[in-house]
Amino acid sequence: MKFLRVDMTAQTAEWQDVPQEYEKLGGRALTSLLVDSEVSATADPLTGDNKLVFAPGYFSGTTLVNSSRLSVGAKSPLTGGIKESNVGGTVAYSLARLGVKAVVVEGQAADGKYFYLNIESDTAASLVPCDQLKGMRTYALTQTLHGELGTDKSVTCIGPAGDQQLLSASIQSTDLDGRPCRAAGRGGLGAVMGSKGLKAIVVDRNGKKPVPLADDKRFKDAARAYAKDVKADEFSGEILPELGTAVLVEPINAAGAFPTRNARQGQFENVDKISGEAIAKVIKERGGKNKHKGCAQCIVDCSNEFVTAEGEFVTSSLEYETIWSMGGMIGNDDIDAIARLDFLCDDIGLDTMNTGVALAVAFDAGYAEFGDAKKAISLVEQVAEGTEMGRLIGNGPHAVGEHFNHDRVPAVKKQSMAAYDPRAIQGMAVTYATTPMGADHTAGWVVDQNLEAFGGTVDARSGEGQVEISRATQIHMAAVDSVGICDFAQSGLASEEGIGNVYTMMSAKSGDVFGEAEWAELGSTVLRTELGFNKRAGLTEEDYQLPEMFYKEPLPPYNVVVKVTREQMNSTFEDL
Amino acid sequence: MKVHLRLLGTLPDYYPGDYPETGLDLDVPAGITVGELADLVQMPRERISIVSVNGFLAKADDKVPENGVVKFLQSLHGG
Ligand code: SF4
Repeated sequence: MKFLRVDMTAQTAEWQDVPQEYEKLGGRALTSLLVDSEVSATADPLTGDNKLVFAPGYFSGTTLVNSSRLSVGAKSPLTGGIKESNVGGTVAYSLARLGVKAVVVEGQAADGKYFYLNIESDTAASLVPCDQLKGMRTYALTQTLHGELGTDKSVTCIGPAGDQQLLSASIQSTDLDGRPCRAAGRGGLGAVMGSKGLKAIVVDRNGKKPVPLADDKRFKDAARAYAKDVKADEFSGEILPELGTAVLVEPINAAGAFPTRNARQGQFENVDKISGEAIAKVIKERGGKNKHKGCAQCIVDCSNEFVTAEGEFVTSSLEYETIWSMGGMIGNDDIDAIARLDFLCDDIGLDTMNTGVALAVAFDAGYAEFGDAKKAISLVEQVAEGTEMGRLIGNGPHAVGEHFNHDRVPAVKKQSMAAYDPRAIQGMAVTYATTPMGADHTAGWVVDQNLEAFGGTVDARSGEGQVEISRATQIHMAAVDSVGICDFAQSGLASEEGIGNVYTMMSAKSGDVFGEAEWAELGSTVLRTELGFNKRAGLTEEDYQLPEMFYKEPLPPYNVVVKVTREQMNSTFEDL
Repeated sequence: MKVHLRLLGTLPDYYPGDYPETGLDLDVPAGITVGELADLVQMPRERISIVSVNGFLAKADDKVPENGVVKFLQSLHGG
């Protein structure tokens, strides 16, 4: 496999043999180690000194199911630290099957010039000037590029938010239907792409190169066993296909952990209108699609296609986090408006979570009434237009809070929290505060371990034991993000036997002995590297804490505040 | 006494009768527990992971109040 080094300053795209130290890495491990070694931690993230790295997971392109995950890494202009954000769709699989291990984009195009990168094979890649595409929304852009280059191309791109280098700008990537609806949403990496003058990466989907495996049969046997477990599991085999990730709305609301009206409440009284069950019913009645396949190699099909009452496409895929950020978080129970906001974020190239929470902070500060969906839509439209208020929303909740002098900003390192209130699920308090990434939920999703009903062993509303479970899960997830397995196919590795299959695949691909210790070491190495980078970037212990509101304001209905102390937060990775 | 029961996720598929989308309005003995309610509607207890009664989490031996709104939910993982 090869590295593709793209120098935006010199406008060159050159192939390179994979440096030995990266040969056995993929996904987050590769992006974070490369950024750590090649980017100065004090670099300005929106200059040519930053590098933007795209790396398929270590298992991407193999026969393993649900393994088309692309990690995107850089120094984040939002958090000021290192960032990895990953995305599904077709790009990771396509790159891996062309024999591309990573694309490293460095430098900066002069005078605001714009290019797209066209990768046709592992010998043919070029930068194509495209000033005329600057400012174009992602759906129109994808259509244009598919029209020019053919529809058998995976497109990974930015929209107007990335063009304006706004801090909530996402990188969007096409799904199996060719729609730019999958997002590497977090950390403002779309702004980094925009700052480089790179509008899109187009990857040919016809690559057939086998991903090198040290022991082909052993890998395939373990991959088959893994797939069997994913299918057999009730959640990934039955519930997700029928209801999608939106099925989380009701249980998280029942746990009092569904942040509502800028996290003033933990339950949304109109949850029935925006639940997974309600959405699946509307989709079915209107002739949309549930059980939709969003990503290459997927056997879970958690995606959906939401349509209007007349059956016209609105968005894909309407997911739990967005239903929260554009629903309960802004007090909005209008499912059509939520779907429209989801589409707009994809089209403009925005992180739905950072954007929804930015709206929530603005509403909380008195800019508009909670529940005003029309205002929310108009504000998100304004992001594309580049009005003053639009730019503010596009720069996320921290920027909005500063503007209105409002301190109820549920964010860590300026990145919004996700759809689990840290007061009602205190394990998430630790994850939000201590991950090197800002308030990410996927960095250490400990909801199941917090709720007894999910088989959890700790009390969700107590601080006891939370540091330990978050730490262990963060180490585990850093490894999962490196091999590139979709979160919703993790049922395949939940059991001892299941994780054994993953170790076997690691060993069969790399040719090395691989077990529990190596897995933990992989995750720990990634986290150590990221924490080290952040330290050199100037982030201090203060940057690894939750905002005061979570310690001061009891969250109804259970009226609880975060009990994990600041000292406990600081101890999380003390001896990593 | 009367209670209202909603089955969420894919639980309606396991209900032996016709499950109305609006949920079940049931006449049950006073003092019934959450677990007994599950048995009454022949819903296998192992399929139910979370229960809420009037919006609050409840356990198998908690009593259901008159006119209580009960939701049976499933186990989830993911992120
Ligand atoms: S389960 Fe959903 S997110 Fe995961 S690979 Fe399948 S469609 Fe993509």
